[in-house]
Amino acid sequence: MRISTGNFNRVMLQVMQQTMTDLAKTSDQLSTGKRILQPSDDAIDTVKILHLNNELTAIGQFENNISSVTGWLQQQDALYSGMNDLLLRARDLLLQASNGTQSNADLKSFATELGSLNESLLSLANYQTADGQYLFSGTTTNQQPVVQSVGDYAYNGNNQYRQVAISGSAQVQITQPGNELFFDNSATPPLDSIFDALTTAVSELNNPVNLPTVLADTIVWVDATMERIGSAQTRSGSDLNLVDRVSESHADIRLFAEQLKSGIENIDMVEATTRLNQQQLILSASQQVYASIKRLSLFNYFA
Amino acid sequence: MSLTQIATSGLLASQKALNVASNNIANAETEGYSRQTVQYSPTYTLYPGTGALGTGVSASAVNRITSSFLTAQMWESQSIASDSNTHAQYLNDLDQWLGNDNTSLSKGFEQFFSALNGSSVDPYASSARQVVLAEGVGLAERFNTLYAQLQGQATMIGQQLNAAADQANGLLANIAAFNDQLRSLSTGNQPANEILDQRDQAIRDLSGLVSVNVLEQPDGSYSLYMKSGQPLILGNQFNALSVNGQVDAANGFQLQLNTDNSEIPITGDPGGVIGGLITYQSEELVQARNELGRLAVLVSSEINDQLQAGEDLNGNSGAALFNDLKTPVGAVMAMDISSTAISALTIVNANQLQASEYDFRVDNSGNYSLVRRYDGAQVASGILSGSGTDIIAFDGVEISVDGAATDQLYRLSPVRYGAREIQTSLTDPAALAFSAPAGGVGDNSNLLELLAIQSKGLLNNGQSTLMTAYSGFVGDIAVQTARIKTEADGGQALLSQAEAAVSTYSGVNLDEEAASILRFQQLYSANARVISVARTTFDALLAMF
Repeated sequence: MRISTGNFNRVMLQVMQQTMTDLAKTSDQLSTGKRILQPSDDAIDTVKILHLNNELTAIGQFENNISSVTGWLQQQDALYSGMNDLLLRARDLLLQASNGTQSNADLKSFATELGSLNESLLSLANYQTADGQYLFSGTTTNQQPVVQSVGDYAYNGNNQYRQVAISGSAQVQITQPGNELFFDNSATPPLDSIFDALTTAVSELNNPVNLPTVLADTIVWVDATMERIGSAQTRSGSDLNLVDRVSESHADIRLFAEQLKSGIENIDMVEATTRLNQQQLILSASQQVYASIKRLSLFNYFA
Repeated sequence: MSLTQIATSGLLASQKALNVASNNIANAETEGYSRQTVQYSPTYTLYPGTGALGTGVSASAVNRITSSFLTAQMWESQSIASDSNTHAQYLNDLDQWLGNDNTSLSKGFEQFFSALNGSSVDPYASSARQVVLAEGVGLAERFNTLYAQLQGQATMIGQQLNAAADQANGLLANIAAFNDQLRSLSTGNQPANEILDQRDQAIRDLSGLVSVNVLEQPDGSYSLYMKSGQPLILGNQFNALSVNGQVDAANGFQLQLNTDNSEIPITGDPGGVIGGLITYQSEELVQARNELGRLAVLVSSEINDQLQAGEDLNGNSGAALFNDLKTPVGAVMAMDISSTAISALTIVNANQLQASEYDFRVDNSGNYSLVRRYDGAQVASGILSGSGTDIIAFDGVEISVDGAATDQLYRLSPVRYGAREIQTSLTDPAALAFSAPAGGVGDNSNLLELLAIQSKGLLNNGQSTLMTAYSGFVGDIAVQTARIKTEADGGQALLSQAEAAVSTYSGVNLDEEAASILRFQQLYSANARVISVARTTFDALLAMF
């Protein structure tokens, strides 16, 4: 067969260019570690990767939520414990005051301490986060939940709470309406809150009229409030457990999705390096072949 | 007849052969050059019959070695290779943009919804709200950027089509002129080889731009026709190609053929580079523009509707985050100046939108039909009421039509510019309505509804979420890109084969020419020797006296 010299040159050049292109692609794959450099490299796997990315993003969103939620629940837990300690001390004082052996001076000093315990409890109930929001006013977080008006304490929030998604199916409650903790809707005003109850006890201790009854009633209020706080604390504690479990399962799913993704997306190093070597071999072989054939010419033998 | 004369004819013939061989050598790398050989024939015979005596040789012709079959095959493959290669280049760019993290909508959706989610723990916090606004801007910008890339391609297609048409017209003029020259230059049986080569090469160049059918006429001229049958060249006359339309026209840029008395629009795939450009423009470019537009309209409508159902930090009812795309700009294009029937187009249900444009036709009796261009389905038909304004609904869209209209033609493009037009219209983070009405500033229940949008089946009969609709589209374009790349590779291989076949037959081989030179040098020397012998013989005769 005749081979035209011009075409031989063009074909050899094309072969070398094509091999260079292949080499460039392989080296791109090797330097990025990715098998798929653009969707058309593998349409089906590209779609799979997009779906896995969506899943990983969703998990990332839930993981972010979980870390914030954990912080909020732990903060609440600390507040509940603080309230509990205050109420325990108040209960001790009330019991001591009601054993009938205390002097009026003693009662007055109990009154002073009980009054300051009440103030502390109130400040915990009106706890504000760093950006000035109240934790126990339901979802009206810009309103102070417990306010004193005309001597009585009133709840100034609503009874809604905020939920945050920690997975596609689970949500946890991260705020607690204060009326459920400190107030009793069935009780008759003015004595419908722990703060009113303690205030009444303080004035009774300062000026005893009906001391045993008032102190006994107050202890009932303290016990009831501790129970309410306890159950809220239990709920947030069990939410924390739930969050932990969900967080573990997110970690499992993330690991699985990432493995799946890297299996699809990442380059097989051994295969790619072998391919690179082969392409280099082809390129240098065709360069050598071209150069050595170019040296052959009948014209070389002309005298 | 003397020895000297015979030998001289041999000398001249071998000189000519040496010239032809050296011309071949000189053109060894000339594209489109066909090798030439000398055809010899003995000159007249003296005393035929009684004692025939040869008188020498003449180089009667210089033949061009070509095969019209192989050449025609090469033209055809050149046009297929250029068509698919051009198409593949544009599609490859689109494929890369859709998959690239910096431009991909998928990343945009993810980041926007992540920002919303970041607010869900503390919906009051203004820093997280600020992030939502920023990611809203980011999402809109991704749409705008992708649209701008498509628009850049559309503009480039127009420029390339114009350049290709100009180039084609230059070649058409050349070929017509070659037809003319060949008539006057090809005398006797000695054709004008170089001009034949140049004409073939010009047709090859033209085939790269647009596919042609070539018909050889008895006078040796070539008649050229477009694949769709319209005449390009007859003898020394040619019809010029031109490009019509503009980037935002209903059909973009279109090719037309200008004859003496009419302008013929060329529909379908004309082949070559022009064919590749037009195919991409009318297929994937339109598809991509509409799919991106549909997603833009959908995301703005879903997010806005939900925000408007809520309450912001100031206790006001919710405002839209994105601009309203439900009365789209440029959605109604009259295809002729007499069409004035449609007064409005409104998107009434973004979930039912299709990534398509529509052709709306009313005939002389007021019968109308609405055809979805993407799949050719008729989505509405009937007869106009004859008075007042008729409302016609289809695929989540409503148009207001003059009930008395006749003879109208429209292109409707409800989502064509969605990705260009989308932007955010909110700058105050406090105005993001994350809470339910009367929920209080710490309420996030409307925000939870906003978050739910990312996993809701919103399109294609509730089958696709925003994300799956986008990834489905990316996958679709990827499949088409892979297919057209394979096609382009095949086209290139076919062209290489055709080139090889032509060059095996017609191309110059330097060793072959070197051998010819050796042969004809020898022939020359031999003839020179004969002259010298003739002289020696004559001298010997003279010496006798």
